[in-house]
Amino acid sequence: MAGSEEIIKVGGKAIQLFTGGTGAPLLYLHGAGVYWWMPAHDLVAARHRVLAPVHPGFGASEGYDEIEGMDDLVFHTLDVMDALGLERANVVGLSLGGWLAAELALRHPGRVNRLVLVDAAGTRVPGVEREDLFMAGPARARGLLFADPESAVARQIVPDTPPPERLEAALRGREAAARLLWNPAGSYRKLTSRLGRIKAPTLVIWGAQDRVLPPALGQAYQRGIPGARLETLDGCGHLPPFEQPERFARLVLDFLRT
Amino acid sequence: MQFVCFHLMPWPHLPADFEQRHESAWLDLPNTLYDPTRGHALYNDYLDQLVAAERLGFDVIGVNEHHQNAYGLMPSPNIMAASLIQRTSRIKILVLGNALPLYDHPQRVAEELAMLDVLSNGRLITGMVVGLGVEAFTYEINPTFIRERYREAHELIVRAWTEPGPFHFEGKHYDFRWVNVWPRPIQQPHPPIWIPGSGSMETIRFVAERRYPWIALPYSQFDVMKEHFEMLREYAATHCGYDVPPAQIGWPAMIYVGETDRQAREEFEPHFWYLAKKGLRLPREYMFPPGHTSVESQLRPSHIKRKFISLLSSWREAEEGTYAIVGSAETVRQKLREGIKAAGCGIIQGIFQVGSMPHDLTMRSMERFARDVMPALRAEFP
Repeated sequence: MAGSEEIIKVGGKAIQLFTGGTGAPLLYLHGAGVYWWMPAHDLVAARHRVLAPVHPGFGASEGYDEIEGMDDLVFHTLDVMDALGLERANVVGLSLGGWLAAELALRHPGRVNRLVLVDAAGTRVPGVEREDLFMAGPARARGLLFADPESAVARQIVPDTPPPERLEAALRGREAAARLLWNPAGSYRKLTSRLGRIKAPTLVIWGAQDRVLPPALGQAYQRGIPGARLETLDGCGHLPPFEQPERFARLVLDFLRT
Repeated sequence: MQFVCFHLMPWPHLPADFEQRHESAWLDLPNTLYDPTRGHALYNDYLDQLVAAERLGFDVIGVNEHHQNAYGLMPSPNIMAASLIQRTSRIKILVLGNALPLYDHPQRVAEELAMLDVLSNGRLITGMVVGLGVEAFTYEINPTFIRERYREAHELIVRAWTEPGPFHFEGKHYDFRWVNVWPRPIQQPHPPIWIPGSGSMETIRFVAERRYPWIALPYSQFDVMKEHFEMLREYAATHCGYDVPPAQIGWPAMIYVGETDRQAREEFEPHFWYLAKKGLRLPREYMFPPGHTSVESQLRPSHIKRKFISLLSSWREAEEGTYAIVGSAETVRQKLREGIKAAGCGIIQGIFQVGSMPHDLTMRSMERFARDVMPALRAEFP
């Protein structure tokens, strides 16, 4: 099974959308580096209708110029939900998408049923340093992102040189990521103090070997969100859906079933 | 032809094993490697070299701006310009900084440059630069906004110099209700503005539309620079309706004049490699943070073809790419003559002190250049 891909119109902009499966809708919000359908999506789509829109500036999605910060991406995502007819949905967000999911849940609690945050950006803990992927070449980036930087999936997601046909999209994606993630210390500080506003039952999944966003930042999510549960995955780095897809999918499916 | 004596003011004392111990001479190189006592003597030598350029007959002396690195010790070029103004009387002073997007208060830049213009009685040439990619890290400026901030700050500064104040500047990144620069510049309508650039299409359009002199960056093949000059001429002709005159094109060249070709190379080469392998040791990711250079510019063939000086592996390669103009006076004359014709330039921005080159060697080369090269080229390219 592979997700199907289409272009939808959101506020006049072309937005790339991956979908797969049937069942209760699950909105998957992608991170800064992988914005296409992966085996983890198939596993979750076994019991859900997975909708994975591509954020403006990434992949084939337009509208980068309108995104100046996280507020704009939250509003855009509400527009995407409207366009998809999603009054409420379960929301799963990874990294950048996790930060987006948390902001969505605390600002618009009526739109989020259950929330899964996976190695999510957004929290800030004084003294906990984040490694900067923008300063890292491919080899170092693999080391920061993966518990096993030599694995096939690590080389697939972070190749030494992107294939020529993907070079332009990769450069644009990097720029779209930097717009939101370039040291947003101010936003991070405020988000951490607002987490108590999240009403959705929340599962936090974190790679124990995440060096980009160390597990202390996941603990901050777990502490801040009322009733949140934290699952830390051994032998896993920043990207649990890709480094441990079965384990990730089982956690998500079990949590959404309860 | 205008001859500029330009200085980078490098730190020349990086240890021999620097490359083995450090990935970069920028941003995260520990500042414990800088010795302020030696730094004091160094500033004096470097300023003496620029002051000597007035006596030697150069038209312009120039300084630039870089941050947190061993390549160039001028985080504030305006301070160096103030010092040079006091020690010279006729020569023009080029400030090929201020890196506008790095500053949240471009009014401060407008004020300081106006001060320098008044202090020097109108001898100031201002640069306005985007700043290197690595400097987005230095000042924590989101690189995806750098081009927008640059354009807005430029507009604010030019308006602050030319429109009666106070007025309200309303921009996306800068919004100041009280723009009212005291003092105003002495040159009218404002001091000349020269723009350095690496050849991005964004900068080429910007200078073409405003008819600003454009100075290339010195660290890639001559042919790549020449292509960029041709792009400027073509853009100005097709989009702005004018032919770019030579006075609007600046060739930045490392120049060393020795007694003979062989002696020149022997004296120059170690300092060239110091610059290439130590001062410009800079990881690609530091140099090109996302957004600093547009995706269009990064995908252009000339960007891909460019071989940055730090990647050179032999002197032969450096010579074939014309990364530096080195030789006897006759050789240097000949190479510059060919280059000027090929580039179509009316500004030679000479960089004489290179890397770890000591004061006496620098001075001798400058003196030979002023005596045996510059007059002949002036006669040939008035």
